Amino acid sequence: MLLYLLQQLINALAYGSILGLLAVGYTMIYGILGLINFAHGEIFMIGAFSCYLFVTIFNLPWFTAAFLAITASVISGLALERIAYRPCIKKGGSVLAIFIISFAASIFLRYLFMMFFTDERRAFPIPPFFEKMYFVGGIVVGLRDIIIFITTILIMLIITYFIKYSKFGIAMRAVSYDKKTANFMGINSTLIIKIAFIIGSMLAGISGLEYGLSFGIVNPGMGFNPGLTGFIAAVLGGIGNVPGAMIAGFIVGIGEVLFVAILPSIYSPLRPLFVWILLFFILFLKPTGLFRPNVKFDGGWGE
Amino acid sequence: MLLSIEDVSTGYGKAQVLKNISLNLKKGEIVALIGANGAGKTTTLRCIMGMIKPWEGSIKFNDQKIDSLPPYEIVARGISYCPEGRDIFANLSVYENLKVGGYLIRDQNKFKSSLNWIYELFPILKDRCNQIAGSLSGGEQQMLAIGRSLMSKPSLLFLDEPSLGLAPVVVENIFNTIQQINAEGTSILLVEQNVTLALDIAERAYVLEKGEIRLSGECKELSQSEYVKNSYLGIA
Amino acid sequence: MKRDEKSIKNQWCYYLLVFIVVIIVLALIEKNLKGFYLGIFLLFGINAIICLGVTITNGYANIFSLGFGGIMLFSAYVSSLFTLPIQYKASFLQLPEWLEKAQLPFALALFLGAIAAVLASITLVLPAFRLRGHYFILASIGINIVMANLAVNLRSFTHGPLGIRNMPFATNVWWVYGILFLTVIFMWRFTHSKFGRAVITLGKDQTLASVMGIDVVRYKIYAFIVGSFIVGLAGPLWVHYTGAMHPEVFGLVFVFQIIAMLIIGGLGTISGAIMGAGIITLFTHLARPVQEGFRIFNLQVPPLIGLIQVLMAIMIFLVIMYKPEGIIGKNEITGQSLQSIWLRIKRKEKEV
Repeated sequence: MLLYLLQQLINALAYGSILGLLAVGYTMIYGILGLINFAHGEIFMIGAFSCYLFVTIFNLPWFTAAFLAITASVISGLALERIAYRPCIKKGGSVLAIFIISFAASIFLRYLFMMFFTDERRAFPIPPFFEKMYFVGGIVVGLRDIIIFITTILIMLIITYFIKYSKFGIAMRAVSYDKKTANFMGINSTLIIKIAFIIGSMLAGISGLEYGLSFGIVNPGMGFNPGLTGFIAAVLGGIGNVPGAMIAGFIVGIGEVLFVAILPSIYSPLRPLFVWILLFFILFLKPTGLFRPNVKFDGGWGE
Repeated sequence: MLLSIEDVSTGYGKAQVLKNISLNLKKGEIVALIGANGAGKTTTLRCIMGMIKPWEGSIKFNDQKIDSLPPYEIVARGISYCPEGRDIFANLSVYENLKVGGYLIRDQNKFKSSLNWIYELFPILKDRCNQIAGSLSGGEQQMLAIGRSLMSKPSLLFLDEPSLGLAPVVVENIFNTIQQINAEGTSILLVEQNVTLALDIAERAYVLEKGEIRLSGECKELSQSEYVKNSYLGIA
Repeated sequence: MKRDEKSIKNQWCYYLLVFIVVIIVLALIEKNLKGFYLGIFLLFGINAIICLGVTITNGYANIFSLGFGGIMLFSAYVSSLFTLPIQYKASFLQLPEWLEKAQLPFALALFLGAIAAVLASITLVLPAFRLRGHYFILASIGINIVMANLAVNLRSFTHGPLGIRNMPFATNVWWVYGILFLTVIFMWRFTHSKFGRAVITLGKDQTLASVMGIDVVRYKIYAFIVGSFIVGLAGPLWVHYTGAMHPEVFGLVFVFQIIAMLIIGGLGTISGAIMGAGIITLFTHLARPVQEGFRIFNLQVPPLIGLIQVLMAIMIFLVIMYKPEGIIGKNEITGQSLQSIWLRIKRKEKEV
């Protein structure tokens, strides 16, 4: 039994990494702008799907394609900020209006890709050395799980360091808390917002690649579920709280896998419900999430 | 002339708040801007800082027009703003707040020397340097806010209602420090509801009423004026 | 008070006239429209009903919930349990005997569906009420997902992901437009009633409303229940028009379309809801053949499935940017406002 659980835990590491990266992206953008970027899941999809396109259509080597895919994610994120969000915020759009735009942007990107590429599932290209497996005392550990997990941990350490100690990081935290006053410190908040989008989109793109490597299947509609789950993780971690989001991402990922592992198999199709049940419980007990949120007024329509 | 505002009118949306106001400030001065609630004092500061654009008139700092610049550029030019209500970053530590204040400082040594200066002015900030700013007392927060705005060693500092909500002893302490800061070379534009304090510390003052400059002059004379005595010192 | 009596009499005559005209028009339509056009007409009506129901919760009461998809799904399935032929139920579902043998007239099944919707909304949404803003929206999205998931998994009741077929085509012009008519009248009376005005006030400013003595929580719940009831009528209407349903029938794309209708038409007005429903229903049906691929100038344009959604997203964006109140805006179109527009046009003609 213990062995079985350990095996599941290993499997969950990659999934937790994917969710953690997504959660950080959501929480960063919410922290900075007070808006939920519903299209974040689509940025994730663009990362995975464009890597697939670069490899299959342009025949690029995997790492080049991956690098370009992450760039594509970043460009999409910046375009989103510039075209959809900034004009609406500038016009003094209500929080509801911004939410609708966010929702519409998500649908737009998803169906744009579906339009041109149809929602067929495709096999994500996986470089051969990723497929190596190790057998350790009865458990199968894939090389890709290790690489994904270690890469994600490294990224998270770098981001945490960046947020806590670097100039831009502190500026980001200041802008999340109070944009007006931050401007009075000489911080160019527009630039900081762009940086938040760049980092968030980069993480989403990387998450997309990890998803492709881990699950092997990509399609234009793939952003919906991981995106939503990632967002829930961000909420659970205390919205705006970057380290909280990372930890919550792993909690949700590991929890979901263990949920399916522990319950009898007839309950497996209930897997998507796990995260909602978790959300319900945690918000019931602690409406602001597990850890301290990082925005001046959290959770409300800017109340 | 360090700062000169000529015939500026502005407001929020369609509502006009300031009507043709003019004021100026020489290097090394402490100038007070006094008036009742809603007179437009904070609006004036915000306008100079670039948060609101003037509808007409011009704002010059060091003889350069700054009225079309965004706030972060105005700060880069050497004006610092300590907002009403302190507005410290409650989610950051004292040290991090000061670090944000020193955002524009490139040189690590300059940053350290600024930091030491602030710690000398407000020793209690040094004691509490790793504490979360939200847990400080009102007086300490005000000191942090002032210290934060001084990190960039501005030539001109705007103080918006520094005495608000603080105990008299604390206020006295802070105002002594303000004088010290001025003595060390920072010019100050002080917005204050506490007229006695303001006229006491400043050399010149402007009286703002309903968006217009009603009176101006040397503080010694203003504090003797019947009008000021009746309208403002009664409520001081 | 002769003038008052006369004006009331005039008003009732006016209403009666409108009523008769509407009946005649509906009869004509029922006789003459078939197939494709009848479909658009019916779906327009059903969408209008949905939009009106959602307007009460999302518009008037300002509770921005996206959960109506899940609630409609529940009401649709419940009503189907009472209208499906017994043979079908026996072969494809595993129901308790009383349920399997149950066969109710459409009116009753419709009503039960709506009641089911109300029960679902009370059970699921109420706990979420302590959440604010974005958290609440998230929870409401969850309702849709949870309902769809339950529909997939409770196979004995729902036949799982394949869904249910062989439903009687009970929906017709009279049902749809009858209910729509009643809903419009209800909404109109609602906005002029004490209850309605309380809801609208709390929608505009909760703190102000509570200070005015309005029990905010209670009225929100009532508004939600009323909205869910109306939406719960539309669920069965829809599936008894298509004759079949599956767990994804009121999924995210559907929710998006309804939101598009409300935003484009105008959230918070009856005319806005109906106008939005009309525009989007018409648009989706006209655009469908384009999506399927067509021939122009001897070039074969390949099918672009998803074009409709992309265009709707763009439309929503444009409306929010340039006319955030929607096409109708804040004020209802009433007999009076149309009259004043007519007078204004006449005046302009005179000037020219």
